[in-house]
Amino acid sequence: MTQEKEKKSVEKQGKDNHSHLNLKGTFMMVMALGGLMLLSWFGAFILFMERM
Amino acid sequence: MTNYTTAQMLAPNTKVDKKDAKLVLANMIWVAFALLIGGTAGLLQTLVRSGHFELPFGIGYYQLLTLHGVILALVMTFFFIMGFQIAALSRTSGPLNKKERTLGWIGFWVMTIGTLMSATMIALNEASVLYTFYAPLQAHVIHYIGLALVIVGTWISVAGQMMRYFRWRRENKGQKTPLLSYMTAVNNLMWYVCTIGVASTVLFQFVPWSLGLVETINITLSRTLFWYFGHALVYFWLLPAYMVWYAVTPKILGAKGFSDNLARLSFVLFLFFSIPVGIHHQLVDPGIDAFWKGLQVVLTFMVIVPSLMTAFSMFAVFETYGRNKGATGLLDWFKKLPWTDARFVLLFIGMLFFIPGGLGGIINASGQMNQLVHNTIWIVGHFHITVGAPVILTYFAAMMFLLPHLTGRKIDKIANRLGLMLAYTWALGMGIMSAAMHFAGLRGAPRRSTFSEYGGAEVAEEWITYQVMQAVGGSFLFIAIIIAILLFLKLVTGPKVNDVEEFPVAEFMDQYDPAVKWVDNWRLLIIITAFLVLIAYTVPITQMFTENIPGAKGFKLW
Repeated sequence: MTQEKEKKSVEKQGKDNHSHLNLKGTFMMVMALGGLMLLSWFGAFILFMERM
Repeated sequence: MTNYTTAQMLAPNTKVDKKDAKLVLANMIWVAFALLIGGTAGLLQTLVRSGHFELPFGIGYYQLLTLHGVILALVMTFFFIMGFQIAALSRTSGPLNKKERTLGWIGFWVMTIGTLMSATMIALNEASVLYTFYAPLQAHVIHYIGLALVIVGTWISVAGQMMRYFRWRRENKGQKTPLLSYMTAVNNLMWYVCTIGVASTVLFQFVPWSLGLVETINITLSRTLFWYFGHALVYFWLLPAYMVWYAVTPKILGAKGFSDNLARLSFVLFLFFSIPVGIHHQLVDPGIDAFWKGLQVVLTFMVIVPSLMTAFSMFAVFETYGRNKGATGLLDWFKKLPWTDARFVLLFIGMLFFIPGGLGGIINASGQMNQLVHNTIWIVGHFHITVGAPVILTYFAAMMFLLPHLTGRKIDKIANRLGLMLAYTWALGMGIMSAAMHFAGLRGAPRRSTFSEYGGAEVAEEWITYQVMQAVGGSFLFIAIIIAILLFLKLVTGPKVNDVEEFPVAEFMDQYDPAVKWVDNWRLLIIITAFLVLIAYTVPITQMFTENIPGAKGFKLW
């Protein structure tokens, strides 16, 4: 089966749509990762400044 | 030979070709062997550093440390990567042809010969220069030639892999290439570009110097060429784990991947930003201008972008899966994940370790702040929770389905239980050991050094408790390695079955959307990669030739 035909058969079944996903938890988790990055970096930075 | 269509690639009963399977298995045997030897060396090191154990039979601490680094960081990872990538190509593009497979075998044997040459020199205590082989420590020339052969072996195997990828592409013009095959090709291109550095320093500096053809070596140049290779090496280890995360994990869950196009873009960004960043390992080295250090720090930070893209994708897959299973709250989708499937638990724990691993990496690369941790055991803790946890645990997860898949067997309950035990024991051991290393490192404990009381210095007394903790963690890790070996044996023995274990390959939510064209434009990828390398390295390396840096004679301090 060519990719074109495969695509059509998938479209019939109803294609996944990224904009319909509920990704609130994902958003929270990546924000938490960003927060951890800032916390750990500033923690090390304070230590660095104390030892200057 | 056949090229697989998307439907064949996604079919759960599509297998790695039998002849390719033998080649993959040959590589995997080395992985198990290297893990056992390297792990034993690691355990002994932690025991020595606890101050309660002395090495028998005249074995040197630095000899053991060299063995540990070379056999785990180079040998084990290289054989796994070659084996896994060949399996991924055979599974998603279709079987290798005779020429491609022969290159795989030649590469395998050249790597084997190189490994044995280096191992012999390490065993004879002629090469206790650690895996980074920094000059002016000078090993026997056979050690350097052995290491060079290991690299050449990977080049040959990779040539066969690249031929397979480009054959699929040539014979299916205009179509989106299979994702796992594409990722393999990106990792291989990065490998070719970065190994030029280590090959150059070994061939033109270390070999003539250790043979006595030249008296001195330019240390700054040798370290710079090593790290031009050395940081990309980290991503060469990591990208096969990312392949599993992106393209296998969703299928293990029974879900779809988040975005094929996003996965390709993240790999391209890793290709661009893995190489022109090696100087962040040399932030306290003399002989390199602060501007070039600063530039490479900035380029290093660019790697955060594809790393967070990966984190986002994985969370999105997990959340979508959990919500389809009925989760409704903000984070209760975590509870719906398959916590009894060892393949998933292994790689999930690996992902968790990568969070502090990444955070530590940002601190290490932050310019002057590197002085806080430079050459302390913090760094050792850092690379044990990057390569020693996310990477290796994902390799274990891959071996869990790969070994029975290749040998016509299935993961049974006992194997699954062993896999879970492996995951939790490894997490416990690595958690204790790496935390102790990080905290001791912040208190100034040096890396690359055997047990010492440093003349009764007060600060050194603080480190001893942490060193005992490292030995405790190391002991748990050794138990985990024994479990891993038992698991591998369980996976390749026992009755063969008709319903062979699947090599899971995920469908993506945008599987049938057209690919972003430029990410498969190899001329463009090579030009951008080369351009960034030239910008980051031309001036610093030129200065190493023009600024009359004094050469160093070789030393053998062991």
